[in-house]
Amino acid sequence: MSGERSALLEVRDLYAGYGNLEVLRGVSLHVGAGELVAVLGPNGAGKSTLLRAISRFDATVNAGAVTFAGRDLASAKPEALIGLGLAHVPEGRRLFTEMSVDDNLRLGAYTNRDATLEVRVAESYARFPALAERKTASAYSLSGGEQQMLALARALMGRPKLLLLDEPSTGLAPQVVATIFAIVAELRATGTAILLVEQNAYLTLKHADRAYVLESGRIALEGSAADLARDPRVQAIYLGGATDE
Amino acid sequence: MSRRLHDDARLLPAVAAAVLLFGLLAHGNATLLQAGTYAAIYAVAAIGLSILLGNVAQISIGQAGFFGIGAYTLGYLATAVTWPQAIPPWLQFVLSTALGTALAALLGLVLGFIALRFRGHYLAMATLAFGLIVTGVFHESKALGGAGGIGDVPFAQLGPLAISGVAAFWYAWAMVALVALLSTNLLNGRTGRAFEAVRNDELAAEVLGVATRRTKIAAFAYAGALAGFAGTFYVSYLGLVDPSAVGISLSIDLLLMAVLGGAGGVSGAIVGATIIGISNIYGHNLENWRPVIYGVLVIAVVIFFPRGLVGLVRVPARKATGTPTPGGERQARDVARISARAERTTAATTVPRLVVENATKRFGGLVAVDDVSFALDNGTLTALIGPNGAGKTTLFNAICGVGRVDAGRIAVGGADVTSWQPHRIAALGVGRSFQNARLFADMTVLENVVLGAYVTENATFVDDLLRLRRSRTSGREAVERARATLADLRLEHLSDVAARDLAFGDRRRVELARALASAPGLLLVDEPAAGLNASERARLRDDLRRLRERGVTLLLIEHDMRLVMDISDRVMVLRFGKKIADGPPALVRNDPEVISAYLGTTEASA
Repeated sequence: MSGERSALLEVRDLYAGYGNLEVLRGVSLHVGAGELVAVLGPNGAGKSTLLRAISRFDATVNAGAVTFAGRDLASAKPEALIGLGLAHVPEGRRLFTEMSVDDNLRLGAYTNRDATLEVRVAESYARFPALAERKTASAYSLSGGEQQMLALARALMGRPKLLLLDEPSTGLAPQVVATIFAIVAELRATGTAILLVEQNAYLTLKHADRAYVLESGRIALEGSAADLARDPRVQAIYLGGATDE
Repeated sequence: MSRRLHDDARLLPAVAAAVLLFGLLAHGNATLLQAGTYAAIYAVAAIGLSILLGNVAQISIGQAGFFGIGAYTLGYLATAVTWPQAIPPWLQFVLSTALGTALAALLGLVLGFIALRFRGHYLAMATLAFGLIVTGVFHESKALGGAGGIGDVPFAQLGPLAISGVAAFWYAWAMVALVALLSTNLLNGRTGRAFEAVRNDELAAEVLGVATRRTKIAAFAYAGALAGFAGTFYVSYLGLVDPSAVGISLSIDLLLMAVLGGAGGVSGAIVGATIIGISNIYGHNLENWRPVIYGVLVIAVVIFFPRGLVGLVRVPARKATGTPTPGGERQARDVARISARAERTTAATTVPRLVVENATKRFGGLVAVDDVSFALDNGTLTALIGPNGAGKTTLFNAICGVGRVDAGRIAVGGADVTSWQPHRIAALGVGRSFQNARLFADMTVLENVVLGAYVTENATFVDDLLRLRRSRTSGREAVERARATLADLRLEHLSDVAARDLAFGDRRRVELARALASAPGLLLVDEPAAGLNASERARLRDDLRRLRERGVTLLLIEHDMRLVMDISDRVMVLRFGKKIADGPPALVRNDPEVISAYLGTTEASA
C-alpha cells in the first residue's frame, strides 16, 4: 500500500471510541513523509476521534494498530509523542488562555528545552508575524484566527514530523480561513507531513495530496484529492444521496 | 423505589430492634440512657441532613443553626412567656414544639433560596456563614440570655408523664420512628423522585418537568424543620441551651453523623447519630482531641467507605420485579395488553403547536441563532440540520427553556413561553432528548422512565409526607406508564439494569422512552442516531415513524443524512445561526446554498 516510500504513519484496522461508544469501526490509512492527507466526512463520522485515537488524546483504542516512524504507539505515553515527532492540534485549540502568547509558545517546547529553544521561538514569530506583535498578550484576548495560529505555532515548537490538525478553519472568517490554509500549504512545502481533518471538503481537497472520506466510523472513499474533488459520491455522503433501499 | 431506599427500608427493622434491645439493657443505667436519648435527638436532625446530602446532593454546614432556633424557641416560650391558664402544660409543649419546628422550616426556606445561587464549596461556605450568624444572634441577644443562654427550662409534661429519664429515652426514640416514617414516605413519593433527579442531573430533571429550584428549597426547609424539631426536644430534655451548644461543632458533628452512617435515606443517619451520640458522652475526657479525631474520621469515611457504615452492610439483592420471563401464552397476552395500553399512554395527550418568531440568541459577539422563524404542523416530523456550530442545539435549548432567546418569541399551543422555566414548558407536553443522553446514571432504567412520567404526577409534598392516597396512586400510575412505555419500545428486559451499565445504543433508546413516558405532544430529539450502528439506526427510524403516526410532532436534529432524508416531512437548514433552507427533503438536498454549507466551496470565501 505504501509503495516504495515507507509510511510515516500507518493505521491498521483501528477500532476506537469513548467508553461504551465505539466510533471507529475498522479504519486503515497511512500518511507518507511530507504528505498532506485529508480526512473528510460528515459530522459524527469519527474524524476527530481518529486523531484523538492516534495521539491517545482521550479516545480509547479497542483494536487495531497505529505505527509511527516504524514504532508501535500502543505502548507510547501521550506526553512522549511530541518527542517522537508527532504533534496534535485538537479541535477548540486548547490554549492556556490565562498565559501570554510567549509562554504558550515556550510550553510547546516543554519537553525539549535545549540550546535551539530561542532559535525555534524566533522562527515561530517569523512564520507568524501576527503573534510577534502580541507576544505579551494573554491567549484569551486573541482573535479566533490568532488563537488558531498560536495553537499551530505551539505544536510546531516541537518540530514535529507529522502534525495532526483538527478542523483549523472552524468558526473563522473566510479571509482567516485562507490564511490558515496558506500556512498549511507552506508547512507541507517545507516537509512537514499533515493529517488534516476538515469540514470544508472542497477547499481541503484543493490543497491535499490524498484524502479519505469517513462515514459512520468506516472509510467510505479514498483516493487522490483531485479524483475525489470530482467524485459525486462525496456529496452523497455529506447530504444523503439516493437512499439505498 | 431506588436501590438505596430499598436497602434503607430493609435495614430499618434491624435498627429498630437494636434500639429496643439497647433500651431494655440500659434501663438501670442513667448514663447509658442519657447517651441513648441524645443519640435519638441528634438522629432526628441527622436524618434531615442525610436526605439533603445523600438524596439531593446539597451540603449544609449550618444545621446547628436550625437546631438552635428550635431549642431557643421552646426555651423562650417555656421561661419568658406567661401562658394563659386555659392552655395546659402539655399543649404548651406541643404548640412550642410546632412553632420551633415551623420557624426552623421557614429559615430553611430562606437558606434554600440562598443556596440556589451557590454550588460546591461556595454552598458549604454560605451555609457555614448562616450557622455562624444564627449563633452570633443568640450570643448578642439580651432577651435570649446572651452567652449564658436560656436555663431552667422545665421538663416537658405530657399528661402525668414528665419527659425525663427512661420516659425521655422512649419518647425520643418514638420521635425518631415518626421522623423515619415520614421521611421514608417522602423519599418514596413524587418528592423523593424529584430529589433523586436533582441529585443526578439538574438540567435533565428540569426538562422532565421537575421544578428543581422549588425542590431544592423544599429539601432545605425539610432538613431545617427536622433540625429545629430535634432542638425543641433537646432543650426540654436538658433544661438549658446556650450559643456554644448550637455552634459550629454541632454542625460538624451532624455532618459526621450523616456521612459516617451513610448519607441518603434514614438508617445511616440513625446509625451515625448513635455512634457519635454515645461516644460524645463517653469521650468527655477527649474534649480537646475531639475535633482532630472527628476530622480524621470524616476523611477516612469519605475515602474508604463513601457510602458510610450502612453501605458496608450487604442487603440481599431484591428479586427482579416485573421482568417477564419468556414463554407461555399468558405472557403473550400480557405483552399484547401492555402494548395496547402503551399506544394509549404514549399517544399525544395534548398537541401543542410550536411557533418560533424571529428568535435570536447571542453569546458575546457570536450570533448563535439569528432571526429564525418557523411553525411546526402537528403530527409532522421536521429535521433541523446544519454544519457544526450552526446553532441547532442553541435553538433547541431556547424552545425548551434551557437558554432564553435575546430577541424573538416562542409559543407552544398558543402560550407565549419565551421566558418560562423549562419545567413549565415540559408540563405543556414538550419532551426533549439530549445529544449525550443525560440519563440518571445511578438509577435503574425503570426509575429513569418513571421520572419521565413525572409531569403526569400530581402528588404534593404533604401528600407524600403522609402517604395520602394521591401520593400512592400517582406513583403507581407513573410506574405503570413507565412499564408500558418500556414495553412499547421493547425495552422491558432492561427495566432493572442501572443506567450506567447500559450499552450506548440502549442508553439512547432508554432516553427516548423517558422522554415519551410523559406522553409529549411535541418531542425534540437531539442527534438520536449518533453512535448507533446500522441495525440500531433502523430501529430508531421505525420508532420515530411510529411516534409520528400516533400524532406526536417531532423536531429532530440529526447528522445522519440518510435517516433525515428518509423520514422527514420537512427539512430546515441552519448555517451560522440563519435559516438558509426550509422545505421537503428532495428540494433541500439539491439546494446549492445547502451544498456549499456542507461541503464548502473551492474558494475560501464561503
